[in-house]
Amino acid sequence: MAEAGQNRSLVWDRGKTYELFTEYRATGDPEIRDELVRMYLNLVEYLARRFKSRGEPLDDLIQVGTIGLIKAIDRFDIERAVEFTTYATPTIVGELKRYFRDKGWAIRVPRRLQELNLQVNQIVNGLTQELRRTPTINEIADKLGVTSEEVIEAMETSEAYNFISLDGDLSTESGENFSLLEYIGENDKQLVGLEDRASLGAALKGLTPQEQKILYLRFFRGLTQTEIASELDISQMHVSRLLRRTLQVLRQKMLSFEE
Amino acid sequence: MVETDGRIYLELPIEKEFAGLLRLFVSGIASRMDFDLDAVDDLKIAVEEAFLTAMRRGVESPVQIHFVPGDYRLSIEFKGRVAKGAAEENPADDFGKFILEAVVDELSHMGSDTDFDLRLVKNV
Repeated sequence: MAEAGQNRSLVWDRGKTYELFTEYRATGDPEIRDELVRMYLNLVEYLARRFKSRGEPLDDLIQVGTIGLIKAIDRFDIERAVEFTTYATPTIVGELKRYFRDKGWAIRVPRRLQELNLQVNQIVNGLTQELRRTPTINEIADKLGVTSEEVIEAMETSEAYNFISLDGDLSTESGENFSLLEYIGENDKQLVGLEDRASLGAALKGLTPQEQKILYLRFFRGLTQTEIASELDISQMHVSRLLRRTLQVLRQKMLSFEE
Repeated sequence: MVETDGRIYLELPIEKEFAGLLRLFVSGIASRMDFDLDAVDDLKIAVEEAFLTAMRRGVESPVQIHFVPGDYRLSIEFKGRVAKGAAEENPADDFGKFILEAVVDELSHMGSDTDFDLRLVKNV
């Protein structure tokens, strides 16, 4: 609450609210609705901040919450003896909760899957050495005494669970000062067809050196994730997660509407 | 989901949230075919990229996805109708194609301005 209070106080003019709603109901003028949205945007921001620890960018949450606010404005009955904020809060919170539910049942990962994920992570390295090749999901499942579906679920949900905000900072422990842009020139022939290199170049700046290196090793040099894991001395699942994040960052930067 | 003669037909709303479900789905099929972990991850990247490509091209909901398991390969086809005037050039398309080519063994697009028809093949 203190954080939200730094920007704007959570106090609204009741008289003005009543006046605007009365006028909006009478005229349906979208400009009045916009004014109401602007007036109560700080409520959305305040509520959205309560969800920001779940790893989604605050701006996205405010956008989602604003949809809830608009719904509340459209449905609010001024004749009811209830404050608009009392009415709007559950609608906005409901919209935010729905967003998380729709986006990722994976975001709240059950403990058994978190634990299984750790076990899978450990067993993959051991099996890779034992078999001298990358294991299959069935082999991992056999070793752990669980079903392959459970392994798949643990791997996939853990990616969402571990997914940090796109603006989040990631460690660069084995990334050195790698810059993919410097390599792109040397490997130009591999980028035939990729016409808009300027936008790719700009997008790459959003990645850490380690992510750029993983991108380079996987897509330019054609190494498998297991080979990259071995080269960078991290786990295959870590490579998988970073690669997924990397592609999401690049898509987001190259195409704003997608994310 | 419908399964006929080993082919599996899936229809999904063309909304980004369903890309995760598609990743899970393909993981299940790939693990039954004994693809190794690296190949399963490649397939997850591939279906997500193909799904987002269909989104960018303005494919109408639902998009149809056909999984065709073969003896040593999995073929995945994305089919759908493109909304009128929706297919625009996009800088992410070339990048998407680049990624797809890196993670699958065969890639072909046989669609037109009105039809989306993308086929990916991954060998075991």
